Amino acid sequence: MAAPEPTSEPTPRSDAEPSPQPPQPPEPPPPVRLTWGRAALLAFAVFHGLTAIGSTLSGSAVGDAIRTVTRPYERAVGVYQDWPMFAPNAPTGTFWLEVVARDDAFEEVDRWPLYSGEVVRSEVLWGYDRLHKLERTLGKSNRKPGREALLERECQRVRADPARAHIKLLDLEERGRKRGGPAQPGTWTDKEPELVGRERCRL
Amino acid sequence: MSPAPQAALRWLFAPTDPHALGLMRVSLGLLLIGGHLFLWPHLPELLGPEAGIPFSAVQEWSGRHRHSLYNLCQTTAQAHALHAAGLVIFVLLTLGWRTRLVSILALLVLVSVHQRMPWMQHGGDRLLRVWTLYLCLVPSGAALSVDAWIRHRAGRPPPEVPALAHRLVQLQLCLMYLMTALAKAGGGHWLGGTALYWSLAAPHFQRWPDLSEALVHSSLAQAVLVGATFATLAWEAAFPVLVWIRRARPWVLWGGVFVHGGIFLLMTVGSFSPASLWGYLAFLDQRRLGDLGRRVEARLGGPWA
Repeated sequence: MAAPEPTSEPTPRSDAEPSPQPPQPPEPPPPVRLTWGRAALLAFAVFHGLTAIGSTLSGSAVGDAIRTVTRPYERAVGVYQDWPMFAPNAPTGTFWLEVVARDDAFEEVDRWPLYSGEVVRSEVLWGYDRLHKLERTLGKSNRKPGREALLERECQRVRADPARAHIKLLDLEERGRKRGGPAQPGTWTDKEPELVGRERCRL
Repeated sequence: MSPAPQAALRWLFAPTDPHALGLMRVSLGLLLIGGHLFLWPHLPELLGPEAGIPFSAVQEWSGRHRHSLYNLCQTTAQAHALHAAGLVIFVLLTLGWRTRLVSILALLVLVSVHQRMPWMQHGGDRLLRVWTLYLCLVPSGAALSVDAWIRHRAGRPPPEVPALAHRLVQLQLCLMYLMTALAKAGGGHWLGGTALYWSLAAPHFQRWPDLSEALVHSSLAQAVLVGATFATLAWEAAFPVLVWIRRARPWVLWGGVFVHGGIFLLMTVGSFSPASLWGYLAFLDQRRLGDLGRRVEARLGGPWA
């Protein structure tokens, strides 16, 4: 075997002073490998993102096309992406639901709030008036099955009470109060009552 | 692998601080426990088998695809027992016992509530559901958990925590603010500067009615509310962009703390404010947040991870 060529560089001695080294750039982090587990998570993240885009573009051709695939997942987990948060406008007052009892002649003979009526209360922490939220939601036109169910329950209560045998029909009215704008914050006007449900209690 | 896909993989899966994620899990668990307890008084009317609106009416509205554990209950007592089981699951999630399984069960409980009665839900419920879903994707029990304590005693190494959940939380917050800014930009109240006046004036949202009424009756407060309306809209529109710029991020996040803190103090909008602010944890320096978690762990007799 040939002897190694002598180099011009002197061999450093172990007891020699270390020469100052120039600062080294930081080591690049090791590459992230795409394992099967990460691929599965990535696939889910992409699908979830697609669901969010479909929900965001709901009503458009692209959004509706995406939702034909993602809608079951979106509904199942409830990951809708509409965030109204007082948009497009904040509420200008408050409303609630009242049950109106009528006799054979359709005359009003009684009236009571479906839940707690007009709500003015203070809550602490993140306490939230779920029943009033339900009332506000039920006022929307496509919640008819919910309104019918609640009116049917009111009818059952009426039927169980002989003293209220004269009640033949129940109406569900949305009532409310609108307040004045910034120039007249102390003024309130009654919102026109709106019939949102009807149930016949006795035939 | 070429640089762009590698950068994307690194962004999603680079290891992050397990103690920071542990703190996020604990705080989310506490929010879930609080929300679950506050829902309990309304359980018979909203979730039980004798609720005012039966499950069939909700299905009639939205289709037969709906499924809920609450619908399996035959009596109100069973519904209470199910709700109690849900509370136990949220407590276990907070403590970090069998965390991956328990986080999936926690999501199942939240989805069951949503499926049974979607009409009483608010934005905070939706955020908490989404946050829990994201925690299911990562080992959130890697630190500050019973799991970490057991693993430490057994001499096993902690799992690596990818940044995936953080990234999804960040993107979700940006999408939320973008969507609400776009929706508000189409409304006269926001462009006219009166949105916060109307929001404070709505009786069913007033946490302190006397204070809110005093504010809406004061011309000085009304002028402040006009400025605050425009500032809120501008902040929401800017958030999805500025939060990615390192130097602007603290200002954007502090703006959010101010907005959500104000909403929380003055209005009853459920857990929306705390749930939104929870998402901000994903934008913080994870090493410093992790240091806080390590101090908590040391107080509890750690380190375990």
